[in-house]
Amino acid sequence: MQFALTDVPRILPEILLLVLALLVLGSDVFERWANTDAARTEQHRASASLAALGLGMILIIALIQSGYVYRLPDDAPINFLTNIVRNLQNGGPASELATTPILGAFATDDLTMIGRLVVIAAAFLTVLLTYDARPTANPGEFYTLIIGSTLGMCLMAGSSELIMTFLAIELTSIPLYVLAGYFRNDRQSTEAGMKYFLFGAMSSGILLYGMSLTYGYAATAAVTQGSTGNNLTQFERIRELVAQAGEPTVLLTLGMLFLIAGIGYKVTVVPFHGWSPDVYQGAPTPITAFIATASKVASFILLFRLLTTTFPVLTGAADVIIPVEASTFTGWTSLLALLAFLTLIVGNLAALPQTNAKRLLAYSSIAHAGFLLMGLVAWSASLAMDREAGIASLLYYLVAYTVMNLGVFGVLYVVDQHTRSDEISVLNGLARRNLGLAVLFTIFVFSLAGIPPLSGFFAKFYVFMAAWQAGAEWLVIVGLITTIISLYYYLRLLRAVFIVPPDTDAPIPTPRWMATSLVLSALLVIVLGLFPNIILTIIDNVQAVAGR
Amino acid sequence: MPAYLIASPDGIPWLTLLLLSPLVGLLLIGLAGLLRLDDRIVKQGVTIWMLVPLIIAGLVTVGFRPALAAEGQSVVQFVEKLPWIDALRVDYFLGVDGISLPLVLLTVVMAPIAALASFRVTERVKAHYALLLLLEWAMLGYFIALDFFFFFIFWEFSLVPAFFLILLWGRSDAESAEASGDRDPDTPAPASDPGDRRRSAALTFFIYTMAGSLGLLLLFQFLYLATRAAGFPTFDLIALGRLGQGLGVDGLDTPLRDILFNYANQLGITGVLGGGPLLYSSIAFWAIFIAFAIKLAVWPFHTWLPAAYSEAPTAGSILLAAVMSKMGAYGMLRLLLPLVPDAAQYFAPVIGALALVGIVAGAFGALAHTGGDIKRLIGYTSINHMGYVALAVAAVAAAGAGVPDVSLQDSRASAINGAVLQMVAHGLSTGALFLLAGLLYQRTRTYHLGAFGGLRTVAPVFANVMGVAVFANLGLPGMAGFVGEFFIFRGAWATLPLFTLLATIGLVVTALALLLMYRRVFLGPLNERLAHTPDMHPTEFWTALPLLVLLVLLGIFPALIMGLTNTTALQVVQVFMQAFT
Repeated sequence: MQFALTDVPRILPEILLLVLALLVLGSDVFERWANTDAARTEQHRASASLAALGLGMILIIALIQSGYVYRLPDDAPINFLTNIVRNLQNGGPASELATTPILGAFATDDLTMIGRLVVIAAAFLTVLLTYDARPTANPGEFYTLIIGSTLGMCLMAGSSELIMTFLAIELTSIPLYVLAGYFRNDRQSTEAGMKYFLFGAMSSGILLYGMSLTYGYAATAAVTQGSTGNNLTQFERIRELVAQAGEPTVLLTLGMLFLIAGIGYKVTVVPFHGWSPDVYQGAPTPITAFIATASKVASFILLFRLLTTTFPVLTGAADVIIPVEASTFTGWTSLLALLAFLTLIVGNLAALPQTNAKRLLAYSSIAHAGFLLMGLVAWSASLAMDREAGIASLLYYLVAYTVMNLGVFGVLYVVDQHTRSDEISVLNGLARRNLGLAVLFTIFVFSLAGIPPLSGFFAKFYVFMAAWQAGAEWLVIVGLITTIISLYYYLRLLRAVFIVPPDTDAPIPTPRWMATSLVLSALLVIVLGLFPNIILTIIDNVQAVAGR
Repeated sequence: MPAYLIASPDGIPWLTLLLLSPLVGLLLIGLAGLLRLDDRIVKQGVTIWMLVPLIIAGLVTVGFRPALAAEGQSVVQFVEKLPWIDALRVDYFLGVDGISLPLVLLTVVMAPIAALASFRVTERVKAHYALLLLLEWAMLGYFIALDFFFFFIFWEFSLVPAFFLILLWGRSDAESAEASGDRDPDTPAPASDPGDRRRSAALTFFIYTMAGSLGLLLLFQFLYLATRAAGFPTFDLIALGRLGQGLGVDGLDTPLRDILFNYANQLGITGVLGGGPLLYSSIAFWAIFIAFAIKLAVWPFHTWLPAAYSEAPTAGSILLAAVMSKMGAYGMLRLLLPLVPDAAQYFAPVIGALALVGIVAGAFGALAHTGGDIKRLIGYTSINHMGYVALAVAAVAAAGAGVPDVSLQDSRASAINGAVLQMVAHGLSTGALFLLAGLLYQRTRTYHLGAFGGLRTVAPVFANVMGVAVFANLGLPGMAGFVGEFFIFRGAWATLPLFTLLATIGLVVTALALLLMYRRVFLGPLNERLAHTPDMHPTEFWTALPLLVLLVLLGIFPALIMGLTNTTALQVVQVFMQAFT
């Protein structure tokens, strides 16, 4: 398998992200800035606007490439404009090229495309949110790191080989460690960065161990079967080797467990969630939003691809509540069902007593990881149709989750900019201080709580359907009960906003671009909730890929 | 479309327009906010705008052909059906029949009354009126949506505006303490108001209803999968109702109980739980019943109600009591009876007993408050009155002692007719009572029944208007409340004679409680503190008058509502003409 010239357009979004990262860095470094406040603001805005424009353009290019909005018909006339679109779409998920991964390592199918779109959109909204912020030191670095991490996430979404997976995860994580500790003079931020780094390093170690075990299995199997080749780290190849060997061995199961644990850190699944409340609380708020949304989207897509392509033999069944005996543990869906159970319970209960808004939302985000896992658990269904519903519900949930979390953290960020605190008490009387912001906040919080007709409701509804179809009825019931529990802490946030009188009636201003970002997210939350068909028709494309 | 669904005769999507009209009102409020218009204009503008849904609903009623029935059910009219979510076969499906249309009319009548009742709101006026419009939207949507997905969305969403109305404009703690007699009205109220009481009322209301509807959500997901296993995946309430009644849809003739049982069998649940189809219908029955019983405040699910009704602002109380509690009863008529008739028949005595306890306990609860909070008293009479509706539901489903014959069909149908009329009448009369209680508070700054006395001498018009509302509420012949209760008793007598007999205790005690309330406010020696209470203003009089006129009109000529309902009622009860065992 060779890298061909035709493969270049297939990774065009990634190439463009890399170019953009270098541009943002260069434009900042090669310019001399005066040491005044006005100059610092100017410097910050120069980098922010370049990053936002670039990400916006890449988003548009990726959208054209995907063909979800407009697909060039085959009999379209040949001219300059159509040629651009045609060449772009030839690298897109609908072209024949997309059926095989580049060098067996990077798939460019619909799953990757959707992951890219969500991740780039999340980065775009995050950058938009920071445009009007107080200027930070070295904004060029700040935005370069965000874009670099976005690039890593895109690679994670498409990665279909173990080493690629590891590189992509590290490319995502290392910039995020730096970003979490970006406020060097702030004790909490440095602590967050440090903790995130230590936990991340450990999870990478676990992940690598899992990879080496899996590779060890694959290599042994290849030797016994007499086949050679340097493709033993590819997901597809490992699956073939397992299928040829017949029974999976303990080695493979062990490898899979370590892989799940390693990625479990990234998606904050209990019991691997310990770092996230501290990191979410300490990191700069837009970075928290970015970590909570984009990196989870990429990790979930990676987890899905890894588990379904590499370990279909070990799928198992989700109707086991607790594996009492070793023999009842049947595969990764049982494990994920158990993890989802723990995550739902711990995430929702631990959120109840929190007094810091970001920390509370960190636990809420842990709880949402539990709901997301239910979409993966649905893979244990016997009917292909039900499995497809599982991935469709997972992706819908990821999209809904991304926009509502970006929104809710965004509102906190606006308040934080003004009050320099993110305790729940600073939200007190927000309705009196800025009614528009309070309404936006209410929309996001209600969506998180799963109140119809917002997208959070349909996401839960669909994921419950999928899990129910897969035979995890007990998990659905747990999910429903914890949804009710979660209402309590979500309503507590709203109570602060609407009931508790503020210390001061001074209005909280919402700068223009922050407001734009928030309104965009809110519109998405409402529109996706009312017209889920818009996005489900796109997600439908994925099913063909996942069904392999 | 099948024969039992017909679209709007002139092709105009009237129900969508009806549903959009409150949302357009919302946009108008936003526009008023941009133009910085005066709050007074917002109040008047929204009230006038609320006539638009009223007019549309009126047009729908004129175009509605009440006598149509086809293929074993009354014809659902003004149907609009578009695919919405392909992956789950969810349709945008609206329509009205004889049960939903009267409730749509009730909603569009009560919404402007609530808007008029909020003219005294001074804080955050635009938000208050926006929430009223949102609430009207959600309630209308609930009554006309015929796909479970939308039905459930409106059901849950209606909580949101109601929650905020109670939370933000509800009574202050000082007012509540004063109303229950814990605080002397003459001492100045404390400056700060933590709002603990209204907050707990709002939260209880929200979480209670939400928790109750979980079973409903789970059940419909299960039903979807069960019907999918039978080859016809659907969330369509009409289709599910037809399957439940064994009428068949699109060539699928298996009754819903068998579909449910087969699916449970296929999943292996029957191996664990055992039992026959009735067990699974029963589980479904309780999932539906609990969700709606909470909203309808059937004993013992009523505990949220007195606090929610009494802590809400006047407009909130009016809409909660007049319309939102009917959402529960409507759900029972729309889902419970058609979907699981066998379990409904089996458990009819249980519902009847719960209804009976509610009727009697509600009445005595009201009696216990004749020296306390006037809004709580009205709340308890609501529990009593909604008990009659629950009794009617039980009576429709009950097997009855005799051989099923035509007279029993008549009785059951009159129970449904009576229940629908009772809902409308209770909505109008309780709405009027809460409105008047609010007006009384504006004059006297008290809700405590011990603090009134002799107001008739200074406010004769007020006393007369309140008198009419009280008599309508307690069911004086000639008023709508009487006709509703009469038909319910007439219908229930045939199948549940004992319960019906005992329920009459509730009639007497509620009447006593309401009359005692009236006496404490208007009769007796004049309380000196209230000697300068102004009488009713013309605007207030004209706000209350439509309700009173409607109450009398429906009392004298109930066919206005019953004519709409009767065909549907006769068709709904068909399925109970057989004995399921």
